[in-house]
Amino acid sequence: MMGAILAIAKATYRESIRQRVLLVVLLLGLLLIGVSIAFSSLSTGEEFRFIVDFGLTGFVMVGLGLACILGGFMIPGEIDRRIVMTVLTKPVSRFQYLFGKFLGAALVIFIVDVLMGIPFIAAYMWKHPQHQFNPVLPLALFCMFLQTVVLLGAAMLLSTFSSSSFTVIATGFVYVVGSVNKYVAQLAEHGDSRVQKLIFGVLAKIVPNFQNFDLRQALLAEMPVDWHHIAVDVVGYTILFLFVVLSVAWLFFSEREF
Amino acid sequence: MAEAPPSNEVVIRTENLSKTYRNGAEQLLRMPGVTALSNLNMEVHRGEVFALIGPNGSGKTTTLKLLMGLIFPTSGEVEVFGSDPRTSVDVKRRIGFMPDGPYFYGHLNGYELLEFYANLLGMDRAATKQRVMELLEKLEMTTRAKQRVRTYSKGMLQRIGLAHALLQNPEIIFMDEPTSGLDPVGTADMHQMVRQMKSEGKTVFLCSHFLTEIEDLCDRVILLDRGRTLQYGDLNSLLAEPGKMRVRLSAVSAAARARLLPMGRPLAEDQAQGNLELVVADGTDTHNTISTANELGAHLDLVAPMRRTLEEVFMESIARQQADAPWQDGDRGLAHLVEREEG
Repeated sequence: MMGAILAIAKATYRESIRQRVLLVVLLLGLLLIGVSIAFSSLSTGEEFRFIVDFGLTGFVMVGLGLACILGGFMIPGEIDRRIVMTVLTKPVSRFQYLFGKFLGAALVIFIVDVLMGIPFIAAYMWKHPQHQFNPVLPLALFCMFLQTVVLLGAAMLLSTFSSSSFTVIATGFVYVVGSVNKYVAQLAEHGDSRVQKLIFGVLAKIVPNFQNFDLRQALLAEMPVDWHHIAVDVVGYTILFLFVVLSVAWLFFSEREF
Repeated sequence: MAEAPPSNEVVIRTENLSKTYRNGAEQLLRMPGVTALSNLNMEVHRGEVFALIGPNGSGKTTTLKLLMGLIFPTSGEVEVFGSDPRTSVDVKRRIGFMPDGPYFYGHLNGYELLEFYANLLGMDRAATKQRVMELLEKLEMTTRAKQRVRTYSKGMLQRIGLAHALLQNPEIIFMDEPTSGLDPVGTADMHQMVRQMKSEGKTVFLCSHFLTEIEDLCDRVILLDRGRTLQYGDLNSLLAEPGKMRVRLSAVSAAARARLLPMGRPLAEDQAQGNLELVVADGTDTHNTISTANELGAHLDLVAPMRRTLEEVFMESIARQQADAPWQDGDRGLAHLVEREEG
């Protein structure tokens, strides 16, 4: 069972890291961190805040790009190139294939986050008033990683029944709605019409609340970590969300013909 | 090479198997869609080389995909080793699929590619290494093992495709256009491999456009056109021309030639060498021809049932089908065959 999943994950990882577009995304992320260091001196007294804001935004943008590229093109690409035919004619279930692809893509995201995280942590400590390491920092980056993985799950679900271009657009939409989920929920509560309330209500329920994944304020204010929030609203939610979207993706993928 | 005789054990069976493709709108509006396969009934026996032939769009690929569980029937049944290939993982352990194109990860080298598929089969590291090296050697790909698959020639891709299909030592091998794009040497090698698989008792299920290779390799065939079965059965029975015999004579004198020619239809003639080959009706006509040839001092070299080529059978069947249900765009251009036949 796990052997096939890991083999598919490994092949996905190896193929993905060879894609130039992913290298471009990584370089853009590193560039954003570099730019944040270079321009931080312009915002006198706010250098530290500038680094954190700009750096974490870089993580979010790179994560969105990775989720769209990997989630939107990975499986449709293999269907187009008919590689999926040679894999599924081996004793591999469609679930194993789907989960293997997900794990491989998640590993790529993890590696990219680590590669971006090292210079970001260095820049953070350099610009920190006391040049101190903040233990919230790796946790904030881990939450960014989980946010990207959640987006990846959503993109993979969309890619099992729609085109790559639709998947990319819809994943972007999920990100935008997820980033303002609190306001969407308020619109659902105080909407003018019943239809408006229904639409915003459904969106607020099914789209993840990415504000929960953002530890920016805790990082800037150097507040203690709310472990309950991390365990329930971030890690617990990620596991539940992925379980649901990958299960639904599996249902769609099981009916897919190649 | 001694060939193992096919057994009567049925390893593949379809019953009224049909497949209709419908896009989203057609499904929603319950529109008819495109019928790619209609009521296919066939059985494939263990140890035989079975061929699926037909023109483009005849339903060959659809049938192949249905047999491997990659697409699902609209109606009817499909069984491989008595199980549904869509749901049975055990079936997939017992079959191998050689695709007609380079449907592989191009960034991997030959060894890594086979290692990947071996991992999917759950083979451990030692068994993987042994089996992969064995297959690379058997298919003469050892020197190319470290080369990336994307740089392979068509012939090399076909070989690595076959190696991938043979990894689990399958009982049935599905081969989709195995010699497409191969040079004559590659084609001969592939034919040899098919014979070898048959001699090992494997069942080979071929999809091919190359009728001469089918005629040369296969025990039984099914001919499809527009999803319908036109011919199905033993190749020898299919090619036999009932009621006609071929009589080949040598040392035929001019006088004998004058007496023998009216007795049948000349198939081949060489007056200078005194050779003559006639097609005569089975029974009394054949007997009379042989007696006359003996009387006139000619040598009897061969008496055999008249046999058509698979190409002739194929073209006639397709043309007949076209006459019964013409293509709307008339792009086949085979109607003249029917007219000629009838004329």
